[in-house]
Amino acid sequence: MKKLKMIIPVAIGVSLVAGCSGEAGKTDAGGNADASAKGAVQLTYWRPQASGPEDDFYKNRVEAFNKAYEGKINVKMEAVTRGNSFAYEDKVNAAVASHTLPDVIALDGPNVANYASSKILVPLDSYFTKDDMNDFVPSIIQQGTYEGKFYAVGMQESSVVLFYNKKMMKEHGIEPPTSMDKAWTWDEWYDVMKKTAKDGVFGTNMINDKGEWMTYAFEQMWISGGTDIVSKDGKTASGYVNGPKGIEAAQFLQKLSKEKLFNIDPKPTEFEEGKAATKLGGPWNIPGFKDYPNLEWGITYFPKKAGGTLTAPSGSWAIGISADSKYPKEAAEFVKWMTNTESSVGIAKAVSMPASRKSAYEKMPEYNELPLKIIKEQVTTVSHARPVTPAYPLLTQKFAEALTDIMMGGDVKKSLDNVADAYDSEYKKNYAK
Amino acid sequence: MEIVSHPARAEHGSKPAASLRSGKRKESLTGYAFVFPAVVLLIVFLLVPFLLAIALGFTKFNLLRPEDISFIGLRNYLDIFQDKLFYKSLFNTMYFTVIVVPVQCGVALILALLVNNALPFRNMFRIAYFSPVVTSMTVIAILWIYLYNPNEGLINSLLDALGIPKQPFLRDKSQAMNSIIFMSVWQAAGYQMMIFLAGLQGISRDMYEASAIDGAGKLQQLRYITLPSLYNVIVFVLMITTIQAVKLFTQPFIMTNGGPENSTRTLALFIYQQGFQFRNAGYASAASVIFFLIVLLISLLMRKFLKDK
Repeated sequence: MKKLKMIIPVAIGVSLVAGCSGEAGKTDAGGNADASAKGAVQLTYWRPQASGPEDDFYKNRVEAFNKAYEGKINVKMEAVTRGNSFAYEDKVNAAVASHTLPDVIALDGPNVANYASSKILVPLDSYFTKDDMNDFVPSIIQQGTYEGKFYAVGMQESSVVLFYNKKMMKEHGIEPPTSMDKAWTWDEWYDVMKKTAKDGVFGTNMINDKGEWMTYAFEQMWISGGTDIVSKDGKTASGYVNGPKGIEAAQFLQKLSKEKLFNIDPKPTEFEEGKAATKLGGPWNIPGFKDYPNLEWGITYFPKKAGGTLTAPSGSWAIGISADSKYPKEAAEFVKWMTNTESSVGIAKAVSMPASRKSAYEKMPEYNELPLKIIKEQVTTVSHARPVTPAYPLLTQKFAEALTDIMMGGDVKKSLDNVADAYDSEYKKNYAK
Repeated sequence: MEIVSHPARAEHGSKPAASLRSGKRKESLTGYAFVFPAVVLLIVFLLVPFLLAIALGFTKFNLLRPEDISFIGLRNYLDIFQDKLFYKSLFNTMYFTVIVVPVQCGVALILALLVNNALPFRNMFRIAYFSPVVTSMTVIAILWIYLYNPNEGLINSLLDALGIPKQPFLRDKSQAMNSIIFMSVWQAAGYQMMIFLAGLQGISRDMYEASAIDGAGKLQQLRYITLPSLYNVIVFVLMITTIQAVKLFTQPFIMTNGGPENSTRTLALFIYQQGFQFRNAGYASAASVIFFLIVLLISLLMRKFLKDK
């Protein structure tokens, strides 16, 4: 019901914005109509629409920037509706065709390579110092780098951890690990699920959106096994996504679903209501836990393969300069501003996500103790970005389809072969040089 | 077309006729003025994209790299004809159409016959059958995801109560498309029902009275009066239902994303994914040209077999 009540005003708001979008874009925060008259460089900036503290963060930071650079640079920000998950990308696609991209553009992390290879983005290497580059957590650099050049800076990071129900763990005498060297392996996690799954309680709960989550969360199981879903250079998926280690990872997921250790059509609040002993989720879940005072929760690491490496998903919205910009230097000033330590702290707090800069954590002492310490450890040391390949849109779609099929009982090898075939032929046809 | 003035005739016309002509010319100008916005919209949003799709079908065109467009002749078509997923999508689309068209039109006809009778509450029934039609398919699709939920879904709870084992519905490749067909028929049959109802009410009462005097029963009346009188309406309804069915997109897009194992991937979904998600606009254009030709062929065949009576 709460959601429904939210939807109505949002829907009205959206239709109002759509009705007078020309004006709405201009009057958004930071718009200073007479700035150009004073000789300041006018920049435009697109970002996806947000609400609450996240929206406030953007407005305040842009306003502060315009004040700090008064008379020199003025940024007009436009919040673009995300009606469905692709509405923002559709608008970008249209702007590419008509060369009307803004100077500064927000983009989802895994799209960096696709945009960079399409020459939509300008490299940022010359604008950031070595110290800056070392201050970003490694996965941010990895996500933003395509063919040796750095194109986009993650505004914040993300991570997937394993939440657990403390009471249930105590009941079964299970002690979840609190240090990296003791992180659960898949088998140990499986045992925990086996022990706890009974009487309408699932061993674990996870989003099952049949979409980006599948790649975001589960590609890591390939990485943990020492492989990936595409080769390092991004040229082929055959032998990677469907290699023996990949098949093993997919079989593990299929085993969990076959033994009904998680609900393939989950209620989002299963874990919060005590209907699941663990939950594969992210920092974004934490604010919602407050609504369930009976829930005693803890955090442990993203499970790794026995004998494999510890890793964790990462990636979130990033910011870059479009090739259409006439003022890349000034745009770089703004990108630097929006990703400096202060912004990094601000956005991390606003969206309850881990920060993208190591220095930001110094200002967030809560990340030094359990449970958030686990998230910080994952983000700053072991996280991996999703594959940096221009054919990512096809890869993620096909991979998500395959994993969904596998969890529903489809043939593991055949499903993964399909991903490899589709990816390889797409890459050869459209991106090979 | 009559409004268009013929200059040849106007020249030879006598005086009063000429003034009549000039009056007509004024009238035709007004006519053009009224038609103008519609024609412009048709050209911009229908004709131009249509011609563009044909032209782009011969190119390699990445949506994000409009500068790199290159002419590749029939390459896209050759690729499509080797694309297993294209055939799978084509098969699914045809399967959906072949089942949905007769079932949906049949259900609609039965509903129309029912609510055409002087039943008590018949307006209530009419509204009940028609209301899903005016609801957005997106909303309905999301609702039916819950209804079809393999664990706690309403339909499975019902089956459970009746002692029938729970079904996976959208989660199973052999049931997913049929589940979509069932909900699609439920959603759209009210629309065809309304058209049938209008047709039914156009049939003269006299024929029924006369046939009743001759001793015809209800079934004979249906067979010899109602169905023949409805023939044109039935043809119309079959045609529009077919064209709608072939375009199936929203339900699989929202409910299954084409899965499981591509069992609900349709041509429209295939084209959308290629064009917008994978940015292969050239390939998608070629596929949509083929799609257009298939729809055209079906419509022509239907016209031939249905209209020639």
